[in-house]
Amino acid sequence: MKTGTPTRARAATLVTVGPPARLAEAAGVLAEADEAGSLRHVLISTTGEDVPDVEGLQDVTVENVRPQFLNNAVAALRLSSLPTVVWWRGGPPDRLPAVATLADRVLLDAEDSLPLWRQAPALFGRTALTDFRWARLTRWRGVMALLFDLPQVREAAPDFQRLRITGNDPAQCALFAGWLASSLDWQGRVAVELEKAGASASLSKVELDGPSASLQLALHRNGACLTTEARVNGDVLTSRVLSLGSQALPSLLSEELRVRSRDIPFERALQQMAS
Amino acid sequence: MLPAGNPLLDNLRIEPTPGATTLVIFGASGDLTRRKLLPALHTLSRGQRLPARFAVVGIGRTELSDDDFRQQFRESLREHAEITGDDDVVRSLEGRLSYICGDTADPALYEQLAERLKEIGGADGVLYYLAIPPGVYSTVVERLGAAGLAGTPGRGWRRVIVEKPFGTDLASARALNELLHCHFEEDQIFRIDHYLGKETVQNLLVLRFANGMFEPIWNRRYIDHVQITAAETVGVEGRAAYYEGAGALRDMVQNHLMQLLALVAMEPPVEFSAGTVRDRKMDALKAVQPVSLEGENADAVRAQYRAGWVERREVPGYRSEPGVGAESTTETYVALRLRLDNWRWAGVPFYLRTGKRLPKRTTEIAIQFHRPPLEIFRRVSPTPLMSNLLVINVQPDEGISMRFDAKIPGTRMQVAPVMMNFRYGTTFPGEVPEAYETLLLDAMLGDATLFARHDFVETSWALVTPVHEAWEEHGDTSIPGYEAGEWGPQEADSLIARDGRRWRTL
Repeated sequence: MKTGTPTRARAATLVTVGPPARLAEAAGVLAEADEAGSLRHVLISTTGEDVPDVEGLQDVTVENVRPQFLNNAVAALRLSSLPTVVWWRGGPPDRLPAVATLADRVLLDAEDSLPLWRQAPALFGRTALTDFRWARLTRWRGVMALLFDLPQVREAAPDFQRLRITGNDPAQCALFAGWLASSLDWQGRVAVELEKAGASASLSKVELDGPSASLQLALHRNGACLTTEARVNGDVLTSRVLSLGSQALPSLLSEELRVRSRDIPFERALQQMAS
Repeated sequence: MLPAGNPLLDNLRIEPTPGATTLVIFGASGDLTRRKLLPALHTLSRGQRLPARFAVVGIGRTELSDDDFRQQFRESLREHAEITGDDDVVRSLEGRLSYICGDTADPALYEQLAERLKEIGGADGVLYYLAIPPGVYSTVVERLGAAGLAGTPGRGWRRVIVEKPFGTDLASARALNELLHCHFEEDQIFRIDHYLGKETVQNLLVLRFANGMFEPIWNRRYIDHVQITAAETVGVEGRAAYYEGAGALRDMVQNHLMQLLALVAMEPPVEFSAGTVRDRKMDALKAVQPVSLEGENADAVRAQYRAGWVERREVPGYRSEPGVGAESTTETYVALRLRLDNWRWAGVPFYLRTGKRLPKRTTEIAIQFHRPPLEIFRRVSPTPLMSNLLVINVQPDEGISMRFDAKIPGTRMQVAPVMMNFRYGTTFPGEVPEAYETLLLDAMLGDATLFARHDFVETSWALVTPVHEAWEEHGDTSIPGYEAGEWGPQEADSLIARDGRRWRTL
């Protein structure tokens, strides 16, 4: 265990957990994140290898911890006077519950989300859980919600029959579908099609159709905006280009670090997927 | 059927957006539109805070085509928001701008506007923004009313934002309110005070009413006095024509400082809603006693800056500014001592000061607490104890600081004051919304919490108008002076020194 200079006036302890390569990437992200300066950092390697050294960032690094003792390391290093946020970038999924119970908030960011998502519902009452795949959907959800602000769309909504989502990250696409299905209480009425396509975009298009209305959100060719279109009875009700906002990991991390509360729509979307 | 609300908004971190809205800007070719409104719209659009169906109709006397107005939009983004790119958000918003050239006194203009609103179609909400000189307000309001454009239609809404100054005295403010009320209901009228859109001002409500530790001590038993300061380093900056007719009392005290005072002094509202918050602010303002203007014990001081050195350069005196008369008695500085007669604040003076060409640009509220009833360290500590102080920095460097005494490490018992600081910039990195973004959005959403209500405006004018009239009647040209770069005149120091106190040096 290496201990850095104690710091004061911090807003939270951020415990980043993962294999060294993912920790190295995290360290780079933290160096760019707006919120990082107000955090007390703890980096824990899950493989027993050295944690990469990043000048001026780590307050505490922990190496050589066997996976079954991850939670003990977190318990020893968290401070009762500061909220503890765990950024889970990898590690044995079965250790997540023990670590999560020590955290006020857990940001899931593993390469494979599904094993963690299976564990997640049991943790909902104990910590505020979210996933970066969900965070990347925030703008998409916001734009879809904007379309549902239109009374004509809401009137047509009960008749939607088909949801088609295209992207190269099936988990993220399924999460978006889960959110729509749970929020609009579809109960299986709407056929959901997920198509894996696209070179780099985890989510590239969402189409929601019914007999009288169709909605489309699509990633703009510049990759930085969303194009939206709502048609009702054949007429274009609205058509806009909206910024997707920054999808860079430092921005997403900063945004997530500002949140402390449970994210009920995320929890419902996961439960919907599980059902 | 879907529930009545939008189920997709549930817990969505992107906050609610207004329904379909058309923003009609009177004064679209003017300075305020270019400097504040158009950049604010771009930021709101970038943050997805504008509705899916949104349009802007600019109205002005300057001959502009729709394309010229769009070009002005791009220029304003470049000049005032440092946005030079040609991104899709700019293009998308630009496509929603149109312009009507016309005389605001001409009824034909309003027929044209009605046509345009019809063409835009389905504009559930129409927000009129009066970014025009106050002298034109009445004409526009009357014409809107006469054209049937002010009343709330069956579906949707019509609202109007009125810029300051809202009147020049109590009589003119009343007259303007009466005129507005002829055509708009009070809940359609949004009187803007951009101070209320500032984060720290809103945070004052959170500080007081979201924390259990402050409210029990927020009263005469624990607080010695309150100082509210709004200091500017700038002079009249080419606005002499306006400022000569206004002065610091009417330009700053009647609106901004009175709003800050009310937020500090108000009782806790039972809920965070426009009606209750504004009711409690009104209660506080009604408790403010008339300003005493009697002789040497007057509770109001005015002054005017002379030549001096500020912002690292020598600057001329007020009377030498372009457009200012050599014998002008317009005050550029005001200090007031106000008394609030209610259970919470009886005996606690509120000192207000504002001025131009002061050493620093800063706005703050300082709550000074009583000293401990018994100073047990007086004999062992050579350092005199200072009172506890809570400072709310409104601008710049927004934040909150608290001063308390601490033991200096060592074998001797020595006590020294220390500051505990919270700064928005370090605790919450990221963009703080501009006041106009917050206020424009709130008006579109119909949330009037951060806007001034008619009774507040009139009560505030009722407090400052007698002071202004007394100064006017005084008639001579011997207004006290202070050097540009000083913290105000000697008379202001005397005003607070009479109570055994002194102004904070900021």
